[in-house]
Amino acid sequence: MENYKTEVILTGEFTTIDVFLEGTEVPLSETESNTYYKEYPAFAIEGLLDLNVRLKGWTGMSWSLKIKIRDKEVYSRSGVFDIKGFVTFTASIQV
Amino acid sequence: MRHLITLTLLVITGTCVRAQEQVTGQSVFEDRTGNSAIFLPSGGTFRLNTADASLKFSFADKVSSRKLFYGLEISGKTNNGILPLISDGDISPGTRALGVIGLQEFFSSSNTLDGWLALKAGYDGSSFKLFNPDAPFSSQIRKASFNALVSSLAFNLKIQGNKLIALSLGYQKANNYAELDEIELTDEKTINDPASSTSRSYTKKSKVRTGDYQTFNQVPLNLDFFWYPASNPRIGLYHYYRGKFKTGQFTNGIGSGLYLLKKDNPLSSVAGLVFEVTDLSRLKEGYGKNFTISFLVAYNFGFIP
Repeated sequence: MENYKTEVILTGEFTTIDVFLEGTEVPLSETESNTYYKEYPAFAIEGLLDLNVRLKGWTGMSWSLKIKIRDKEVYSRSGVFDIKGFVTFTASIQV
Repeated sequence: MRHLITLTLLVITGTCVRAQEQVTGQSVFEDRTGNSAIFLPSGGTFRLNTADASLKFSFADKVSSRKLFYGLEISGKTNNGILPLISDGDISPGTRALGVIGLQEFFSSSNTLDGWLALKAGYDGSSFKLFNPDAPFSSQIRKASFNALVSSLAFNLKIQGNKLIALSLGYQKANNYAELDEIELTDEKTINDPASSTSRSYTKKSKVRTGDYQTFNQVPLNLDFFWYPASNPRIGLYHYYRGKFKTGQFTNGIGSGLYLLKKDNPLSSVAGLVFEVTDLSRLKEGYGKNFTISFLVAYNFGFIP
C-alpha cells in the first residue's frame, strides 16, 4: 500500500453524486460553476485503484470525470445523460 | 429610451459572463411574481426576472457525501416595474433574504427517482407610498413600510432525467399592495419672486397606490411541474398551481409557461411566455381581469465565490 496525491474532478449538473475510491466515498464540493473537486494529499492505494460511480442528472446535459494521480491524468470518462438521467460504472485503474 | 438602453446593456453584459459555458444553478422557473417551489441545490446564480421586476442572488453549498446542504437567496425588487429598478426612477423597493437548509439524495437506491427537501426562512420587507384622497391634503400621501418573517418547506422530486415536481407549503405575513390601483400623482407648485416680478412653476410626479391596504397572515401552497421532451431539450414546459389560505378565505390560481431553453443546458432558459389565471374563483367575472400573459426573461449568471 502506498500513498498518492489524488485528485478527482467531476463536471456537469447533478442531483446525486456517488463517487467511491477504494470503497471510500469522495466528498466532492463545487469549486467552480458545475465543477466538483476533491484533492487528497496522500490517498492510500493498494494495487489497482478501485473506482465506483453513480450519478443522477438531467437529460441532454454532458458530464465528465477525471482522476489525477501525482498530477498525471490516469482516468477520464465523459458522456451525456439519457432520458433516465442516470449513469453508473466501475473501473480498476492502473496507477 | 434611456431606460430601454440601460436594460439592454445590462442583459447583454450579463449573458456575456458565461455565454460559452454550461452554467446552471438555481431555477429560473417561477410564476409571474417570482414564486416557485423548485429549488436546485447547487451552484450560485444571479437572476434577472423581467416579469417580476426583480434581481435575485441564490447560492447553495453542497458536498456530495453530506446529506445536508445550505444556501441563501437574496432578492431585490421594485413594486413599480423593471425600468425604475435599473434607472434613477422613483422606486418602491422590496427586499427578501432567505436562509436555506436542506436534505438531499432521497431515493438513493432508485435509478430513476431523486428528491430533496429545502426549508427556507427569512425576512421580507418593502416600502411604498399609499394615497388616500379622502384624507386631509397634507396627509393624503403616506409612506408605508412592510416587514415580515417568511418561511416555507419545499420537497422536490425528480423523475427520470427530464421531469421535476415540487411542492411547498409556507407561512408568512403578506399584504394586498399588488391588488391596489396604481395611479400617478402630479404636484404642481409656483414660486413668485416679487423683486423681479417673475413666477416659476414646477411639477413633481410620483407613482402611488390607492385603495384599502391590508396586511394578513397567509399560508401559501405551491405546486410546480417542469419537464422537457428528451428528444428536444430546447423546449421546456412549466405548469404551476398556487393556493393561498388567508383568514377565512382561500384563493387559488394556475399558470403554464413555455420556455425556450439554452442549448445543452435545459435548466436555463432564453425566454418564456407564461399564462396565468391568478384567481380561479373570479374567472366568471371575465378573463380580462384575471388572466395575464407575461413575457419572462430570466437570466442565469452562474458563479462560485
